[in-house]
Amino acid sequence: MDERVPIVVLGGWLGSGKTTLVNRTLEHCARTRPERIALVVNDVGDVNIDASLIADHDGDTIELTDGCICCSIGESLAITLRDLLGRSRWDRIVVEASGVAEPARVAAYGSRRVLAPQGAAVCVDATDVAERIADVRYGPLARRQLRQADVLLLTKTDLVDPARVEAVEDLCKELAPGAPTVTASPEALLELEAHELGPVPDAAQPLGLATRTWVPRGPVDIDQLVRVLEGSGLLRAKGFVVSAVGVVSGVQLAAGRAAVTAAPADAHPSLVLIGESERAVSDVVVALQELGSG
Amino acid sequence: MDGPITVYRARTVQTMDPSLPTASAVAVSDGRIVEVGSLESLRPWLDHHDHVLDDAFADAVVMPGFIDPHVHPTMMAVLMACQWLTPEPWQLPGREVPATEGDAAFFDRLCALDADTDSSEPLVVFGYHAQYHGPLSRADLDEIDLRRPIVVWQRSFHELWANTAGLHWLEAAEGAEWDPQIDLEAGRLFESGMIWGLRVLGPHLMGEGRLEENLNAFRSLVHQGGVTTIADAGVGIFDLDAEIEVLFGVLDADDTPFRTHLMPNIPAARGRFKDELFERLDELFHFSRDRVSWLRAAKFLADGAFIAQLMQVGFPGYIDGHQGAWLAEPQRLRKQVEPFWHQGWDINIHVNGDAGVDACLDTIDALLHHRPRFDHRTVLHHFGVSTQAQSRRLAALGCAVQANGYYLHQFGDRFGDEWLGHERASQMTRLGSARRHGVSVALHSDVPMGPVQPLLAASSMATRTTRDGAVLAPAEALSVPDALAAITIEAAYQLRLDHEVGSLASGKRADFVVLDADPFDTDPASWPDIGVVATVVGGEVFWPDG
Repeated sequence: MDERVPIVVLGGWLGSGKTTLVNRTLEHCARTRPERIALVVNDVGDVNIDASLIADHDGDTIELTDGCICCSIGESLAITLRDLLGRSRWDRIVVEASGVAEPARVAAYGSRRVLAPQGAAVCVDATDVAERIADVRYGPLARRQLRQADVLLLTKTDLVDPARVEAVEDLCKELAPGAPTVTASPEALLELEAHELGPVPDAAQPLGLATRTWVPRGPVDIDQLVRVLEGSGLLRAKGFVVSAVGVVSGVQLAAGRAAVTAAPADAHPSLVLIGESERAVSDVVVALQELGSG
Repeated sequence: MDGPITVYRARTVQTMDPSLPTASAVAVSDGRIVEVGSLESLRPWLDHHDHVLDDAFADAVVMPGFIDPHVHPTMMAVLMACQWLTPEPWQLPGREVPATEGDAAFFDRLCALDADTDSSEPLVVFGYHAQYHGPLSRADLDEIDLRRPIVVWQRSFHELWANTAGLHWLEAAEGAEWDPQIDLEAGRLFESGMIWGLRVLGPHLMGEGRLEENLNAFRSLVHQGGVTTIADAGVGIFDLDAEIEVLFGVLDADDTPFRTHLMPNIPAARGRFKDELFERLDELFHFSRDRVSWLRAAKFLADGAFIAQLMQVGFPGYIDGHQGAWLAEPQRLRKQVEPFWHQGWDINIHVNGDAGVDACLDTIDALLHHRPRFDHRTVLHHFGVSTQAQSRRLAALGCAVQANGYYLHQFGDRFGDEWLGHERASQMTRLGSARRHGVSVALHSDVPMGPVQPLLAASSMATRTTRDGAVLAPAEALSVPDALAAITIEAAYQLRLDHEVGSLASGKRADFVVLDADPFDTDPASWPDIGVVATVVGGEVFWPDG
């Protein structure tokens, strides 16, 4: 039996609802859960829970009456986790990533001998995720956060109408294919189960570009293709495809916008995809394979 | 006024006070300036009080003592426990560090340091910079020494490199289990991995009285630069309590030839004092002394370092596509600064990239709307890459700029080709524009980032000339008066000490630097060659060591 302590990363953009979820989770644990949870957060000062649930509070660490604990990441997550494991036996550890951190990088911390990574839950703010990922400066990072999620937790759904929630869910499917999208709740965070983690990007290296060529198996629905490409987060795509009615078209993606142009009839159908990582590009290839022919 | 008057005659007195720019004599009593003028104009004072005429500086030029408003004394003292192998030359107490460039030169010197130092101690070398010294690896270091631990500390403090023995010494194998930023194969501990390494390295460099000893030696480093006032811009980098103890213990002495002002590093102070932050910081003021005292100024950090190219730059980013880092992302920065703004503290923010500058200006803009403050003197420190629009906004918001005068001198030649492109690299530390918009501009060394040589910083910013002699964006050069004000009265203004130091006028402290040439009469390119004859602090003369 695996004796290791499960560890989960909670990611999401600044203001996406991570701290609210942390507060709810602490209350939830204190009230209902028999397990001992340790929450490692950016800043314990942000935590705001019912004082009656707090057994001890020394500024950097809050101990709850049920034995759960919440502490700041401090200078080094590695040292904080090591000290935490040395301090007591935990049933589960949750690490809140900073709003501008990549969950996969945070997930790389901690000894695999004693910790069993369960993957990353990433908060998605239903009110503004579309603008976040479109932002010139921060869009690529916001997209990487979503792409690295094993489950997406929708927050603030009560602030938008149901049609908008649906649109956000579609967006999530495009950006993080394979990761379920659920409404944010302590249960969803704590019940995340083992997921094979993707490779850890090397923080010191420039995020290199990855290139793949996709050859369609047959005609494709151009409208669907455009939608997939525009939601792909790819930096660039270029090539030719055969449409459902047999017309050869040129396809170009730049700055998130796809353009379809006329092309010579003998052009070879294939699409070159350029993204920020292998994983980003292969995710798009998976989505393209699923395209119908319209 | 109790004591007698001492009158210092000089070839020229440059007061840095526009009401009386030059003079030929300064009368001093009880550590303060009685009057600036000439022997004749001083006559009414001299007729009524005992006085001594001191002609020791009769052939020299007297200026207000230079001010280095952003230094890290304890960090420098820690590094002084290391051997130095840097791309640029350094004049350290008791040793001269030559500039070392190129892979072969780096390894030759590393071998020499290994051979020439006590082999029973680990060899810790500071100053490696990949752009100047080529790649480094554990295998390379093992070739130099297999048995003795070798640890190489990168020039911008973000990483350590070690040989196999060094990795053992730093307990890196255990660290690597927990921290993905420790690469045993490569022998590299970076960012959070470096913090792991410092658990062993820190005590080694600071223990057994080494910190006190090196801080003591640091004093002559400041003195030889002609500096009479420094500010520790962020007490608490290593350990708040230990730093306070050693700073007062060593620097608060009558024979320390400069005044030290302290501002707490707020993230560190918050970690130490927790919920009692303001109460405990207020208590610290009671411990201010004559030579070492606390400023009601708080230090925050926005984005990553310039030398490591971890600052946050806006579009189009870095040439190689790497990402900058936030030390406090914009929302957090605002949250950190806000309570200090409301309590009326002076705000000082470390910021290097234009995206970081935006974060600072957005913060101050929002706080000004929320709770207006007059004369807030918020200072943006370092100011690596900025835009013209930001110069205007700085002025509109009443912010000041305190730039590192050495970035351009030391790194201007390389950063364009590899990281920023020519346009942005050539315009680094955009000070001319800031001055044209009426923004207060001061210069600092940020030692150990740069050497405590204010005349070199001022020269570099007045000529925009790099170490290799290239002139970058001459339109951003400071005028001669502005460049000299940046190391005197403007620095004093930014520390809210302009009523005390930074210029020579009746009532102010008698803190002088005595030079062998007049910078106003010397080509700015030659300012680094001007010799410091002596300094005067509170009317007491400090001659060079030895």
